[in-house]
Amino acid sequence: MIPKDLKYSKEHEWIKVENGVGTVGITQYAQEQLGDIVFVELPSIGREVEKMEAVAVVESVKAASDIYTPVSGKIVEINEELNSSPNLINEDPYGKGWIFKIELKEPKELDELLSAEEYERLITEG
Amino acid sequence: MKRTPLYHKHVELGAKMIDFSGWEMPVQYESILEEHITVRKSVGMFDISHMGEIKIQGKGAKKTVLYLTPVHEQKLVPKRASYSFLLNENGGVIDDLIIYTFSEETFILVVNAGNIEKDFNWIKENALSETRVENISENISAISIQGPHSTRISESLFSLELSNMKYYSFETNLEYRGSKILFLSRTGYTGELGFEIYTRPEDVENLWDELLTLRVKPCGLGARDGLRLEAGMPLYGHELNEDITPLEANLRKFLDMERNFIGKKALIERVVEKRLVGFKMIDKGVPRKEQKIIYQGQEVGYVTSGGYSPYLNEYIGMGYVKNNGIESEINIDMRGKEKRAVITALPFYRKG
Repeated sequence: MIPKDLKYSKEHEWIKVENGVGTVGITQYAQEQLGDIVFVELPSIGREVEKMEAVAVVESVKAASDIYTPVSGKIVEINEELNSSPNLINEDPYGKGWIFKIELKEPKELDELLSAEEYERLITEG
Repeated sequence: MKRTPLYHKHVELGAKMIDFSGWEMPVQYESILEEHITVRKSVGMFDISHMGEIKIQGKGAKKTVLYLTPVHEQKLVPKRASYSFLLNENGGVIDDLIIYTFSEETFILVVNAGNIEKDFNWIKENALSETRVENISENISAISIQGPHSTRISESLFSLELSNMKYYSFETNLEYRGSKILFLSRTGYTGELGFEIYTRPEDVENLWDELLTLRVKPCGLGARDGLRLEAGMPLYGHELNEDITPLEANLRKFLDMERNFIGKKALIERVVEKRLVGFKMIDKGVPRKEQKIIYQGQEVGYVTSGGYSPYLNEYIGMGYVKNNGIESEINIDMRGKEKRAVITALPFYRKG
């Protein structure tokens, strides 16, 4: 259930890195906790961000949650589809529900993130 | 935390339970939005057993109800329900409630779950002579059936013609398969056609199960909140509290200003400083309680409720603004970012 090829943050974001660019979204567990997502505030393209900076906001029926970038870098792409279909995050959190792409500044930061096994432990043990 | 007799049913259905004014209640079963849409398009049901019921009886009962609430006297006729309030001496709302008139000498007030003790004490303290006041909340459970198909469902339960039943009327002495129904009213908190069925606690499970087999969708507090927001209905603790008067909350039509009641003097004398408005977002974003309302660079009020409206496919909210000079476009401060909104007539949606 938790994809093996991704890295995870303790705040329930996932990142998949290809050719120095990371795709970031929130996990299945996170979308279940949030419930129906009705709005996503996306970051602007070109914005330089530091690891753990709040860069997006995901609003569910119940509450607004900050989305933190798990790595430092420059936002290079955002998922515009979320503007009209924010529920893609509920339906396909690891696929069509991705939120933004970031060009990594310090690839070493990836080592500080959790593996799939470690993340699974985090959500099952709390 | 307190639980209703249906608690185990909710857990069995996989509901997400939350603390609602000290009650462990379902906020959603599967999806708040789906539950919301089901009520608008077909039919859903809510466990409302947590609501409080206070019985007022005796020769002084009617006088007491008229003294404690601003209700129009001509509405206190048997089989009729009336939306009203308990007001304090300052005209502030102690609670909003529904008065069920059974006879000249018997009334039941249905009050908010979080205010039962407070209301009961207030009513006891202020009741006139020859009046008995009883908190019967523990003896009554209830299910609210809401949606365009709610008439068909309720009719099939009771083999009764209900399509002519008037909004805010109620029936008594009904029975469902040997279970006593205390009263059935054409009421609800969704802006949709609907009925509320009040039973003894030991009978409510049967009724719930029967409604499930009739494929009535269980709906939680999340959907209930979204539906009442679309319907422009106030929620105690959001649009109403002890510092807010019904005049500020746009509820003048529920006040009989021709006679005396607790709080009347203050309602006449007090300057109406703020008013409740509805608004739709122009910029996208979900308004939330306590966010600031800005008008021409000045803070002029605050949001009391907000959300996404599936019916309108827009972000909507309600809030208080200063009583004068604020028109059309306002801004909502969402986490430091000002987003544009436009003041809109309430309700956003209302059918029944």
